[in-house]
Amino acid sequence: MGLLERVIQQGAEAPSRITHHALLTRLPLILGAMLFTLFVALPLVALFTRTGLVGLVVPLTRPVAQVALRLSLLTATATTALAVLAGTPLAYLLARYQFRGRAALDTLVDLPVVLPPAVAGVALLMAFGRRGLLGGLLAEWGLEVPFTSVAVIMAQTFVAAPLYVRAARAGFGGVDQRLEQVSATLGVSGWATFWRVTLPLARPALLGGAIMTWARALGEFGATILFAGNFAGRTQTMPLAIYSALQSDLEAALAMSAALVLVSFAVLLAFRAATRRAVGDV
Amino acid sequence: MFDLRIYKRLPGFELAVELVHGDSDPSRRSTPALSVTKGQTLTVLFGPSGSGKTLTLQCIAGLVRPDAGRIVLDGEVAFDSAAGIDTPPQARRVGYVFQDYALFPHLTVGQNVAYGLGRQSRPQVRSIVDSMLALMRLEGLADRRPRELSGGQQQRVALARALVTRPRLLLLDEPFSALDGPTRAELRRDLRALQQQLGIPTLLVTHDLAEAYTLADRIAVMSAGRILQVGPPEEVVYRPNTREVARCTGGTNLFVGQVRACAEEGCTVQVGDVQLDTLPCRQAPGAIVELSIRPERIMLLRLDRPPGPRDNELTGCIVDETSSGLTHTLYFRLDGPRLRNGAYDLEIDLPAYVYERLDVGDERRWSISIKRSAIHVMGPPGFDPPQSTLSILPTIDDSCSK
Repeated sequence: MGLLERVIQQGAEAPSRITHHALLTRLPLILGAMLFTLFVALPLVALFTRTGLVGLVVPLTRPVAQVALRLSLLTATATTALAVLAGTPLAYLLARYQFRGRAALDTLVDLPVVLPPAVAGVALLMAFGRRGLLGGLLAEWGLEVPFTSVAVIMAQTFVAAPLYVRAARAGFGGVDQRLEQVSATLGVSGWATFWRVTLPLARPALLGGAIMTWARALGEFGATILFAGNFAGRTQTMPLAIYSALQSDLEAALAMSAALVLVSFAVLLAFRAATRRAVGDV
Repeated sequence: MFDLRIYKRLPGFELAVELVHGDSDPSRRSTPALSVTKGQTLTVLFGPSGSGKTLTLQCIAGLVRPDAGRIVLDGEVAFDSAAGIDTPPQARRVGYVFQDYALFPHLTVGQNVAYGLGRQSRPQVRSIVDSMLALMRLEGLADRRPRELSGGQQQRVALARALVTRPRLLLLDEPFSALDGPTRAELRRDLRALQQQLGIPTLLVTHDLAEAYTLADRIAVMSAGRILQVGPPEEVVYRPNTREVARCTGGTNLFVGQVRACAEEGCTVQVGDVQLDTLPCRQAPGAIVELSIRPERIMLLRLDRPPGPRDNELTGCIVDETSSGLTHTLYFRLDGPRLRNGAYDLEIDLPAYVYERLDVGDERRWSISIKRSAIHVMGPPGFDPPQSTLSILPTIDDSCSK
């Protein structure tokens, strides 16, 4: 309760009447903060206290968990790579150019962020499913997308890639255009200017966006289970494996959940490190 | 060295600039103070905020595309709307120093300066950068980041970064506006010396008359998107062509009068109820003219001083005054015939030490004398001066402007 101590300490330095007053006005703040902290911390603590350390590690060695973990890391990374490859030009376009339909495109990019993942899954099925808009065509060529690992990546990309595009758009938009102009007057072409000025300055934002996309992809559940199904080894990512295990093997579900908590925590630390560089206090 | 005709229309603003650098006009070359070779000229674009100075620079650098016109740099056409030529900025070899320097924050000082040096060997780049840093007195700062530098140092880095590429024209946008007084004075001297040394023609933008006067070989006075007058600093300040130029260059006593008589030794001009003796003014008797009387050239005389052969001696009293610390501005009202109606007739600028020595603070009633040479007679009101020496571009399309 460092906060409480500090508040009381601050109060102690001031005259007593003010102390009373300060404590009184700050009480709701402190109570609210405590309530929220408990609410978030308690379930996380519960994950780790149910079994011992051994109980959290051993189930992870089971094939189901191993396969799910590998699939999750693979698909999340593929999703992030796709987002960076296709999202970077799009983000630059949105940040730097004025064109007809820009606002519409901007909104379209943001839409999946607020869309319920289940809706995203249904929408993907309607587009790429066997009786979907494109699905029939793909099936004729012998390409069946739904219920494959590719479908997992597609579901994740649909839901998570906009996070990268949004971050990159803001990152490019934050680069002072006069720096690019200076570069031009110094004889450096537009393409070289992008690599030497724009990209380095936007890099922390791009990195932060990529990390958030990766984390979101790793946790994707709703769109994946609807569009890709829940097949061990092919489409069963960690969240899906946890869901399945919960009905049969609580130990495994707990172990995988704990593992994801640690990964999430690491991601958060990485994100902080990446964006702190953006502010410039290296 | 350069030759500009730029026309650009923005919402609510119209820029129409014509400027010829490296003047062939022999009358200018004959002025001793200006006998610099072509390459060393420093032209100052001077005018109030919003007059289009920065826009002009951006057009020259290729950062903004003019709607019409022609830009020739060093004999090479960089822009010509009629011929469809528009060289991109990276091919123009024009150095541009932004008002707030725009240093690359992710690069060190050394990397900033080296930025524009193309593909050259590492030792070569290092030696060029080192000598440039030495020239700009930035030794030992090569590994610093821009944010670790003072404003003056940042400014010199920006200048160094532009100069290493050996531009054929250097553009400086209000380069000293963000600096404190002493630093500014120091950097002004440095810039003047450097510019002479490197011989790069320079176009500098400022709204500070003192800065323009100190630095310029010639001043181009700009207002509302037009260049009103181009000439050596003393010409622009003491012999403005129009009332507008006079106002821009600190002329506060502006009058309209009528020429009464003209002779060899001078003219007489009726201003209000007063007849002022002026230098010969090339105007016919009866002509309506505008006059500017420089506030710092009006002489203050004690009332008890014996009368003598002085130009335009008048008496009156000080009705108000303001002070900038260095200069006192007195608002002087004439006793008898008035130059104009209103609370006062003339503004008189007095250095602080003269103000104190004459005890102006205690004595309100004075005699004044306005030397003939202090009165500058311009053309009639609304007079458009000849374009040959002024390079004023006629309005291209007047249908939309008021």
